[in-house]
Amino acid sequence: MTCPEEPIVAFLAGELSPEEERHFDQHLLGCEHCWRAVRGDRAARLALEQLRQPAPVGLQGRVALAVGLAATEPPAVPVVGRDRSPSFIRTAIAPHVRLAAAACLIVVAAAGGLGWLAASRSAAPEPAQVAAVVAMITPGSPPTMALRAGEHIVIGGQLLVVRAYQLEGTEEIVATSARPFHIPPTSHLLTGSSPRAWMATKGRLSMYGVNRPAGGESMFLVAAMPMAEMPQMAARLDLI
Amino acid sequence: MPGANRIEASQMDDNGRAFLEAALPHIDAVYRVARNTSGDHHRAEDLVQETYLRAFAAFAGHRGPSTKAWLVTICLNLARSEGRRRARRVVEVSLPEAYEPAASEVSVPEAALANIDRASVSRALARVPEEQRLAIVLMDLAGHSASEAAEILGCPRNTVLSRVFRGRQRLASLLVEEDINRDVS
Repeated sequence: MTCPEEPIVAFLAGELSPEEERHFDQHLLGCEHCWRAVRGDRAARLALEQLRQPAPVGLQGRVALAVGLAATEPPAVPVVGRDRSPSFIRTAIAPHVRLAAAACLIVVAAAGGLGWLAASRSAAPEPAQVAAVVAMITPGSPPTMALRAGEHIVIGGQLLVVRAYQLEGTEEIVATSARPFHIPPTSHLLTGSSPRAWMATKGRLSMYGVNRPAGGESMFLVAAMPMAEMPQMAARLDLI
Repeated sequence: MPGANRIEASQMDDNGRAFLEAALPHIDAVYRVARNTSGDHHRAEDLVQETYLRAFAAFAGHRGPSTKAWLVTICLNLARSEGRRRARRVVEVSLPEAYEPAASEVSVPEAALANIDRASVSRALARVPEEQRLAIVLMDLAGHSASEAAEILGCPRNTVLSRVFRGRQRLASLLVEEDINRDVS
């Protein structure tokens, strides 16, 4: 026999009056159909408990960073303008590009001419600069401590210090770490295994890194200048 | 260090701070919705981030009583449009009008539950028809009331309760099936 659904649903939602509930309890004693429905409901709810997991570690930082970037960007920069974000963001987080979307935004903005660096004259970089470095060093790994620009940030377990410099009108961003940086697959390797120097480009940005073995400080420099000038710039900044 | 404070205090505007304060506490619920409406956890994380960016862009106009429901609505809309773009789903099979109770006489869902893991539950939930799955995700995973879920889905409250009920029945049957399949293999 098939019973109507409504009383069971009302019973499970706790919406029967006390009298109706007593009546339904009696009904359950003799109705296999409804009894199994009630047990199935309870079993499913118990199983679903397993899916009530918290957001992954790092996602909150990634989201806070992305929002922080949107909240700090100067309105004059058109690329990441808040009002136009939907279509742009959709492009930026295309599935085949597994960069953190916020970082993508900045890399694309940077490719447009480093306009986002214009205001920086101090040694404390902006979150946008940090995000750009993060994107280039560890694609896909959101920082676990967001919006800590100018201080230490942790990315994929790696502790970084990010600084900004300005030298003769050009901006340079430097990240240092006690652990070697991940070397992008498209890099040119410059020296042997220890220390290992490498260079790469992304849009108009050049990257120059020196990885030193554990115990030494590894370095990563980003600037909008020809790749060939990067080692010299690193030397002028006393990085190598 | 003064640098970090300077940036947090002066460069992120009040709007950004207010938004994060209001929206970040709901990230678990938004993630659960994203995780169970999109294919894998990478897409789910992208979806959560996009949800927050869209929400932030619209934050000035947000006047609703529940920030969580607002975020979840944005997340669901994004998931739907992404789903349409990918057009990966075949037609959902609807349940017949009279629902099927959960388990057969010989195999009760409690037994199946004893050793079911999270991945199995997730797999089974993905096989529940979409309307029912959405109702379950909103009520059982994101913790919305039936009234809130009804508002988010744009359907009557009774419809939500019915979908949740049917979806749970279906899920229980699928979990029994998972259990049997695992025993066989």
